[in-house]
Amino acid sequence: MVNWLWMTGGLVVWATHFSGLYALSSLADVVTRADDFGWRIAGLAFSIACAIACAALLVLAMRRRRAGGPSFSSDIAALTAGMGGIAVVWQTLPTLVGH
Amino acid sequence: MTSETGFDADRYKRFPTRGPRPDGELEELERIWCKPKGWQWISAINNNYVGVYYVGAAMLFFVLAGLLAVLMRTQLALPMQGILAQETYNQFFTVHGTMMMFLFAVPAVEALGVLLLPQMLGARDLPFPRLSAYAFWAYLIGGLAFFCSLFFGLAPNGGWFMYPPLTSMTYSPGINADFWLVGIGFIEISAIAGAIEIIVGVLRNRAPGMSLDKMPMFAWAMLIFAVMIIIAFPSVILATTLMELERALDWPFFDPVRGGDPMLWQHLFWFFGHPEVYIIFLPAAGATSTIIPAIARTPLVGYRLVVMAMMATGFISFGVWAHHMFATGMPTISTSYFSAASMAVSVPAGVQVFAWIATLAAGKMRFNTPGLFAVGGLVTFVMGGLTGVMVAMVPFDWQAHDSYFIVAHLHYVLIGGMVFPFFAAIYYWLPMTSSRPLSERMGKWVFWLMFTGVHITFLPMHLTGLMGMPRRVYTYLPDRGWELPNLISTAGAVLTAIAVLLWIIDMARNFRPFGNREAGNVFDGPGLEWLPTGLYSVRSVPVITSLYPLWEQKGLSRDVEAGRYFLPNSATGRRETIVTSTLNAEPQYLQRMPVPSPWPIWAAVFTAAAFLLLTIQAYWPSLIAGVLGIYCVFNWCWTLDRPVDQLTADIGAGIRVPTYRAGPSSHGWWAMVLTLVVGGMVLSLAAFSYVFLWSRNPGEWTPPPPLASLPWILAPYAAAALLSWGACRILRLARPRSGLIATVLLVGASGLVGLGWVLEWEAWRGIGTDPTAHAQGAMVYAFLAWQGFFAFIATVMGLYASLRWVAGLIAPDRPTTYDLIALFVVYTAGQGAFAALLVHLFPGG
Ligand code: HEM
Repeated sequence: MVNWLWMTGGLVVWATHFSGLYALSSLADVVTRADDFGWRIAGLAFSIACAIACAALLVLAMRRRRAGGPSFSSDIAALTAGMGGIAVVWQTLPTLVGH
Repeated sequence: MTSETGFDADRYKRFPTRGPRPDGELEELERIWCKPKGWQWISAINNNYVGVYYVGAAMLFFVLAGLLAVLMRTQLALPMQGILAQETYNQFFTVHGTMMMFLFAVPAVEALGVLLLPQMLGARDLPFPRLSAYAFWAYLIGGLAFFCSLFFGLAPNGGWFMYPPLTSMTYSPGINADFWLVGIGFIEISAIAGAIEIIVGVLRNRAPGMSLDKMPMFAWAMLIFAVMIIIAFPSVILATTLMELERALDWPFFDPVRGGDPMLWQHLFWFFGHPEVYIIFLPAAGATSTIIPAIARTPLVGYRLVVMAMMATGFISFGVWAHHMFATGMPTISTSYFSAASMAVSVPAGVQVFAWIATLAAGKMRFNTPGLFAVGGLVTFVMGGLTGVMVAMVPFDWQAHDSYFIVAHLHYVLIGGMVFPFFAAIYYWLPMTSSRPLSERMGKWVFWLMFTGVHITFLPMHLTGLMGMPRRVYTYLPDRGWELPNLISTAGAVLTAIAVLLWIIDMARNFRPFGNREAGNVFDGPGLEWLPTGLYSVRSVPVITSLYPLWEQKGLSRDVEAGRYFLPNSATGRRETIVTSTLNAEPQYLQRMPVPSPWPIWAAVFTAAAFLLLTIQAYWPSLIAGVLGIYCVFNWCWTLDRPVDQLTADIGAGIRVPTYRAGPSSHGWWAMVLTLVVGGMVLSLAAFSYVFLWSRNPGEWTPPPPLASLPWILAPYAAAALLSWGACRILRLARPRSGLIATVLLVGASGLVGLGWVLEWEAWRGIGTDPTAHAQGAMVYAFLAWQGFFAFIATVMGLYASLRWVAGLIAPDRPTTYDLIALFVVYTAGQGAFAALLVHLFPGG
């Protein structure tokens, strides 16, 4: 299980990111408005945390790879972290653009 | 490579073994895995049979749904035609869409998995062949009944996504909608059964040495596909259950007048419905990633990238469901998040497409029929993907929504992403199951007719849509400029139909299933499935050292056939397969496989009957069918988990492994955990529904029963979990009365779960909650109904445990049955406690 979590780490962060953003905007919609400034800043902070997590996973995977750890799982971990990172940044744009 | 289980990988060096094998080994395998005779064809369970039946049934449904499409296109060829009446057209598009999605696309790829995976992974069969047989028969009976509803005018007519309020009792008073709800709910159960089989099979039945980086692309795709089914399909099970409860008992989940919300249906449906598209696409993509390297005679470019892309597709598919709801007035920022996520899907999809193009460029493409279908699928899918990015943009989607542009887009994606790859797969892998390959000459005709037919049908539809023609209309007025594109579309549909007809003729002429001979590796494929096989799969199970074993492991075919690898014989004189570890595929134990039995088939017949009778409101006959179904399941399980005469067995070259395994590393445990994950998903989505409905009208919600009642409800659940755990511990102590005490504890635990349920129900009844009055009460009772269903199963399991104990089938060295029952009871207790905490504490008094 740990190995699977490691391999899919970046994607798990991504999934956490989009679930978190949907939850935040839905909650904001109940409390005030979905694109209320304060809630958007909360969303941005969350996005930054997720982007950092992806970057950290990427660095860790590269290091493990260089240190000669199991190459397949480290490769997949690095790739999913990279993919997750791109997606997190892309999905953060609606928080910033057009308000 | 470090060992995962303590197995010494140096022992692989003993293979291939030298010297001749003893006489009679092959004959013994043939005797054990013998061909069914007479009526036994029906009760056959090996993948060679069930897989072929399964693919055949899926193709039958494809042809039937295609027939409906041709009739619809005939109706739409010219304006104001009267070939199909409005109501008939409504039923036709609903049944066409539903059959294509639920009875063809998903089962077809699942069927392909059942058929191919054992050979591809070097296993004798998938781990639960009886479950495969059950899944197949349930699907066939349910599917045929669903289709036949058309002949009685009872077919559903609310579109394949059945939105309320159109499908509520007010606007759809007949039983047409019920046919959809009950039928689809039932068929999804069969899909889930198949998915469990595939996950455990791919993770635990791979040939020794086939570590994750040597796993065929198709197996990766099937693994991710099956995991997605386990996560996505519970949503449709919940949605259909809630809708059926609303229709049958007037519990207002989707009725806004009484605190419900039709949007809940859309969320639940699309949380399943969008991943469904990728569920369909991924195995087809896996097949393409397997076929293209073989056709281009070169390894797949970017294997690891493609694995990552498949995983990413699986994850993201769960984050884009609301892009089907852009026109429903969700908050702008939420819409933008979903829009961004939808665009991000093109990254992993693009990675796969570029990997295929690069492979084709790197190798030497052969334009044979599978190659043509694979490339044709790629081109068509990319075109559908491009319109997909267009509709991911919200302003464009608002214009195109519910128009023929969407019909064009969805067909491009589905046909390019699934139908063409599936035909490629049929042409590519058929020589493996038939003594003759399909005709290349005719195959090329089939491809070109189908390819042109599909594009002539659907390309003009983009235009028809942009010109304003709405989808789901049975006719249209002249002089709107829609005549010509519609006529062209119909001509294309006829071409496609001719292609399918040619394919059927070719199949009838050349397909010889279940023969003693196969056509062989006519495309020079590199996978294990191209090793010579019998009904026992491969003669001996090879050690895998390469991703493309037949290309890179010299002499493999010869050595496998000579029995120089694992399991060259039957180690225990019965049906068996090697269970290996998840990551490195190190041999762990020998799994005894079940023999053919009619019970799974009878179980499928009676469960299907129970569901169908429920649809026509014949409650008593339905109950009787349900009881008979349970009886059949008892009989099916009765012969499992029996004593073994050898504790260990030599699986080749002196390597001995246990013949029995209980606990978390056993295949049975895995299957039960996956089943419970399905239950857990339904529970989580029900919790989401509860909070969602509250968020719509928080002011209308009433306080729950007094908090003092909560500990009384939680206590029996906690005790049930404790007793179940205790039962397993005590059985393992192997004292004289261990079996008796463990049985009493298990029965007690299932009783306590029932008690918790009764107390919860009493608490809500005590404060006068009426499930028909408001969505809050309806949700609380929905939790109760779900928990009641689990408590009932726990009770049935308790009864089963007692019967096994009475029959002397419980022993400390074979604790699997009790472990699994205990696992179920513990989960049920946890589920009851979770639901109780949620409805008592949120939103509170
Ligand atoms: C070339 C073969 C096919 C033709 C000619 C065809 C034709 C049609 C037509 C005429 C409709 C109804 C459009 C409307 O009135 O809105 C339709 C709807 C649909 N088709 Fe197909 N189809 C074909 C293949 C497929 C395949 C292979 C799939 C899926 C794997 C599929 C899935 C659907 C779905 C999901 C709908 C929407 C049903 C609804 O609106 O509820 N079709 N198709």
